[in-house]
Amino acid sequence: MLKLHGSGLINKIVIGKAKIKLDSKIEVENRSIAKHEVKDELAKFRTGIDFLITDLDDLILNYSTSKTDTDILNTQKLILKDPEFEKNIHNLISNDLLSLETALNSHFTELIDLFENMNNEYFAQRSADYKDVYARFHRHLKGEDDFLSEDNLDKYIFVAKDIEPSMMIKLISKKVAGICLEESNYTAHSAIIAKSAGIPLIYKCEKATLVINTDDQLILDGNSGVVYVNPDEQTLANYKVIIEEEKKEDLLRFDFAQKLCFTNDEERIFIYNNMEFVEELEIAKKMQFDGIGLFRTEFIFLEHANLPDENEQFEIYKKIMEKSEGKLITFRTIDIGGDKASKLLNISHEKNPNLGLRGIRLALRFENHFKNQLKAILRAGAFGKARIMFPMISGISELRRAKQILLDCKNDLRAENISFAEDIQVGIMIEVPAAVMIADLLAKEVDFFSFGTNDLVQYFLAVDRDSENVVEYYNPYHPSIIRALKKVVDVAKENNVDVSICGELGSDEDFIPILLGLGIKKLSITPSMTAKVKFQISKLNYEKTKLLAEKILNLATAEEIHSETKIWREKNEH
Amino acid sequence: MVEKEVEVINKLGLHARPCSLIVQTASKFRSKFEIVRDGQKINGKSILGLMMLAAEQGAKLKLIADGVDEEYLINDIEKLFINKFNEE
Repeated sequence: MLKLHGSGLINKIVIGKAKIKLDSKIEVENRSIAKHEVKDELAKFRTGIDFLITDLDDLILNYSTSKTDTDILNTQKLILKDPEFEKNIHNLISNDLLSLETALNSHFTELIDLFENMNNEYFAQRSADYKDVYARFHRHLKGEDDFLSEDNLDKYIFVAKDIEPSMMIKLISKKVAGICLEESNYTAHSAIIAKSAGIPLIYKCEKATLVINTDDQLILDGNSGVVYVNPDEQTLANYKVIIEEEKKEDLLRFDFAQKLCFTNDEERIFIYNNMEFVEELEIAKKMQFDGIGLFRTEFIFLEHANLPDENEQFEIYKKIMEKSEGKLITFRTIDIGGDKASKLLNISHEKNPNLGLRGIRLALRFENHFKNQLKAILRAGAFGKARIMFPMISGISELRRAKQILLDCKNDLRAENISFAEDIQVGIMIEVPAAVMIADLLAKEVDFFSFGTNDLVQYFLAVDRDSENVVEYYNPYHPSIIRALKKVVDVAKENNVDVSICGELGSDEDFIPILLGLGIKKLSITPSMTAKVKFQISKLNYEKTKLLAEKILNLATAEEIHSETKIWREKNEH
Repeated sequence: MVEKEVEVINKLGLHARPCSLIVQTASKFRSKFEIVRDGQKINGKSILGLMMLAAEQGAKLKLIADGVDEEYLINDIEKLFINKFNEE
């Protein structure tokens, strides 16, 4: 038994058989062939090309997630269709009497070497394309990708260095049991999709592709980030017990995911989802879903080397609206700052990026880009029910400026005779203490509020939640947070402003009764948490949560509030 | 046979996408198609050939088409260069 260490993306455990995607060195034994074998080798070449092109077409049509992906896949198609490639392989097989594998090896190694020795960024990228095509061809000849053509992969755990989003979608749609990656990160496109789908994924797993072999038995422990390779019987038995228990709970919850969400005294609670990419909508739609409470548009920007223009954004947003089946979609305008922003736009280094040029401040600084985004959202809004949400609002002035720009965009579109959502709703994130204090003023100028609790807690308590030194001070149960939520909800009610929450607290089991008790009845959460949250809410009594909220509003410390809530849950949740 | 001089005017030069566009466009025609740069001659229907040209902005290329539809081929390819491969 071997133990590898990585990081778990979701707290789930899974056992399965390893399937490796090899990105490592391809080893080929040079083999000559006899004259009479030439015909067979050429035929194998032809079938290989046809198979790989069909496979690429399938990827482009069904699994490609961005224009960049499609461009890369199209280039790979042309590499396979290249007449010079065909000529050279034919020559190597027919005249030099090499086996197909040897011929391919000679052709591609020569090219890849050539590209890599040019010491030029452009050619380095091209060498990656050729390497990828060669690896695909090689795996096809060895039959290593055959398992991907199976319809159901639920016994397999996919192991690779990293994985492109199109492959991730393919694996998810075929119900892969789990994924183990040597590289990647929790902010990577593929990882985010896996998280939404609730697929157990271990990333940054050291030496995974080196140590694990195809058909090894694996346990992925998403809680600890540990991967067991060929576990001993005791470990396996222990984990099987845990998995059985989880399965029972999952089955129970699954029914709730398919239904509208009500408390046990029939109060309707709306469960929206947070998402970053179009593909996640498909995952959310597998459940009964009320809409998207937070679409984080910045991920689209971070995907592109250049900032996508109005039309490119429009195409993406339109796709989302078309798939939304008339449900509410909340587009949050670009919310980046710090390093991420400086890569895309030319911004000087900031000593304290969390308090710097981010959210709406960045948008207002780069008004042209902001306008492109607003117009794209306005146009897409004509295809369904969209709303616009501004992040990091701290005062009326920047809200008015943003709204004025939105008005200008509408006028521009009107003048150009382009259809758009005339009466699109406008709202703001409540995540800065200043916004809490002037919620009554803000309420008069917006249609909705949405709490971004991660930042709200960080700013309210002046605690950097990534700093290990002050981690004990980051506590959302702090009385100031409870009071802030209460104040804003009350103001919203008076002014008939819609209120929801889209931060992580919305799926925190101890915090949910508090949210309900304060009168927050719309929670926007990550899709993989939907079943769990709906199940919990079905066991809560809305009227009783109000009593809980009243009680904890009078408590003095975070610890008291948290423990009071736990005691309440034990008594009232069943 | 027809020949035409063109200049790479798009900012990024002949990177992967323009190369793909040229090959895709040229492959629709039956004529033979070659591109010459500084004496280096490549098959214009080969993605590899185009990449090896490594033509940056400002590079001058000669297009040579030979066959039944040579005029159409040259015209369509020239348009791609003039329109900066629809990139800017």
